[in-house]
Amino acid sequence: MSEGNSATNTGYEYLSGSGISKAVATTASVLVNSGGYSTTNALSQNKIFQKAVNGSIHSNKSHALLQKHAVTGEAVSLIRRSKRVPRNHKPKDFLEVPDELLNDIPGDDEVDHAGSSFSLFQGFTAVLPEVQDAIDRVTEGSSKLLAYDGPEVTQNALPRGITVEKIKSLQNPKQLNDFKDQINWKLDLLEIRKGLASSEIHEIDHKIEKLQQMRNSVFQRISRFEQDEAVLESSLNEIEWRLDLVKDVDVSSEENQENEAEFNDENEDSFVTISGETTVDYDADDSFYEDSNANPLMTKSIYGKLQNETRKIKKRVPSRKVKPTLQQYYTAGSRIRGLKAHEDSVTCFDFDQPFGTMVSASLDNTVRVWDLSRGKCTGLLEGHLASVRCLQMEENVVVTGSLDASLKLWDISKLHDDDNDGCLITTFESHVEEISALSFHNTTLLSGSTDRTIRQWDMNTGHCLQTIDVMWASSMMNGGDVSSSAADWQKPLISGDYPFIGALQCYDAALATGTADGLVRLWDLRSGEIIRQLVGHTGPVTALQFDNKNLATGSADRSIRLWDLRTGGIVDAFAYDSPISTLQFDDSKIVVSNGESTVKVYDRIEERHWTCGPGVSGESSFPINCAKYHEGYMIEGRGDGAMGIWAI
Amino acid sequence: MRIVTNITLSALSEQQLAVLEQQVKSEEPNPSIQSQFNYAWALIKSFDREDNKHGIDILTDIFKNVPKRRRECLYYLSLGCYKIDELQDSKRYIEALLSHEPDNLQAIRLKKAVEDKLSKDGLIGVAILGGAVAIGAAALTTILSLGRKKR
Repeated sequence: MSEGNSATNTGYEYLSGSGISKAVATTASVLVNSGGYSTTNALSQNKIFQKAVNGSIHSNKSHALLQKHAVTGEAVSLIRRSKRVPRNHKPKDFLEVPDELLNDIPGDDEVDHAGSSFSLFQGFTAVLPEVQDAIDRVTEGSSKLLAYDGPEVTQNALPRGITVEKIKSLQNPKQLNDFKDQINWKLDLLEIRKGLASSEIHEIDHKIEKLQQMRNSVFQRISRFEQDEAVLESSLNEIEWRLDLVKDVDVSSEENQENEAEFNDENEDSFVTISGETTVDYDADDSFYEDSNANPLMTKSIYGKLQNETRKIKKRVPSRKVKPTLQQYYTAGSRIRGLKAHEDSVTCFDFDQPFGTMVSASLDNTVRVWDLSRGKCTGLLEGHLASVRCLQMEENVVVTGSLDASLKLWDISKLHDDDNDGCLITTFESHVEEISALSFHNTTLLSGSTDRTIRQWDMNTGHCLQTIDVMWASSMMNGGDVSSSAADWQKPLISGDYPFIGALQCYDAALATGTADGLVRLWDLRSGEIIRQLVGHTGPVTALQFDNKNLATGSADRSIRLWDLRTGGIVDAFAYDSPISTLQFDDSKIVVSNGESTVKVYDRIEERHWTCGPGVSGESSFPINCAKYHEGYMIEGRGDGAMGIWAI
Repeated sequence: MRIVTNITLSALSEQQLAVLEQQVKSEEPNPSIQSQFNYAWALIKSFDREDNKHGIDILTDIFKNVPKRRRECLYYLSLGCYKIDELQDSKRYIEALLSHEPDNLQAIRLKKAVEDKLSKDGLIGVAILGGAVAIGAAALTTILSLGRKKR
């Protein structure tokens, strides 16, 4: 048997494979997966394993192999299994403590701070009288045999035979003294049991701490895996990109020159194609696009070719195979990371996914690109003459709207391409005053400006497709009295510096805007007309988002309103203490920033309000300007340029 | 031998055992260490060998789960094993305890008892073995002598 043990002590018979018969493979998972004592138990019960070990040992093949492998020396030691304790094969019908545990006995110093100096044996003797008590009680009132469950249930804390009445009525000092002794004795016993129970609590605390440590280390592991994943994903993307490039060169090398000769008077920069628009399926009518394509700038065949050729920006297909899940393992409301992102107040930001890429803008006139997993700034988007007020990001496409009245389209995947003149694709310049809100969907970009117009742009061509004068459109709807409605807008509902178009969002041909007059308007972009106005807010609308069921709006009147898109009625409404600045919602949450030191979260499922952010722990911080989240990963940007990442 | 008599004399009644068992059960699925110990110790004191083994099982669990109580458990484990004549285990445990508390009189006494019993068993073993050898030798000589006679 000793020979058998010596063979099982070393691991690479399993690697060499020939030493031990197939049966080992079935037990290999047991060996690998279980650790400690369970291993030995599982194996000792596994007869196949023992048979296999015994059977193969005598062939001596494994020893030869073993020696062969031993030559490679140190490298092998990495894959060598630790020595296993030889098992005692005498069958035992009771448990025994393995030797390694016998050696692992806490020393004096570790034991003493336990909080209790009582031994278990003391506890045992302290319980015994009560056990007897319980038995006596049961045997006395035999009819109540079922009534007791354990000695712990004592209705009367006083020792048997002593009652409060007796104590009060007793005259005999000797008996009273006797009572006193009895009670004192019982008190001592209780003290022992109390001490033991408290030491048990210490023990449990200790275990929880251990488990917490384990959790932390596993957590670290996930974090490491996700970083590795991110690296692999980015290489994968790079390969895809290269593949496309190589393909393009092959196919269009000849056509290339032709086309260039024909159209060299065209500004190439304005021809921008975003691939992947076919993947979107929405219920809205497509006729808008048909309309706009009905009168192309040139004949279709040429236009088509041109589109194929001048692929200025390409939406990198979301080729991610894996999703970051690390944020799930943070407790809700805990801080994942803090960033000192900007020198001045953060005005807006957007990010693609948890631990992904973020683009942030600030009053310090910079637009920064961040790698959220490392918390590092990876680049700047430079070009705007004034600070950026609003931006949106989809995959690698970023659109920024600035106080310099222009919008810029960027491809941040080209941030570090040296052969290019930067990642700026195109600039949209038509507005005459600062951009206050923007939204794009597929290739349609909508921007709202303080010049009180909304412009619709084609992101492929860079052309402005239509301009909507909100004032005019609104007066058309209200019966054509331009002057009176214009007068209405002159007086602000709430004093303060709020842009006329506080928020907008488009989806295909649908557009929703929130304006400083407190109205929420729903537009049809095909006709450029207002379909519906939602009245309710008493202050400028500053935030807005809709999905397929609801429209959520936030206003400077401090309230959040949730509208039903079909009926136009209010589903839910609540108010906070300060004017709302941004809002985001999905089926489970509404996340709101309102210039306080905490982000407000409303749990739509549990109908519960809670807050998250630096203000929760009493930490002093600048007001939070904006907040956004994806899959429980929330980022907020503050007045001093700092940003915080939290799990919600 | 005094220890042994100590245990056996103070064995608990069936009823008391039942109450202690009930207590553990009522605290399931996470019975307190004290309740488990109470029941285990009561089982070890019992006259029934199966009870003793069960008691050892419980104590072993406590030993594994609660590092802080290991030293205490060792003594009772050793005692339990001594009682069901698992002397090797008993010796292992008491020696482990003594390595930490070399001055523990109770433990020293128990170790002595274990060793006494071991040497006694050992003597018997030697005697049996010796007898077997003697018989074997006798048989061998007779066979050999028979063979010689045939020749």
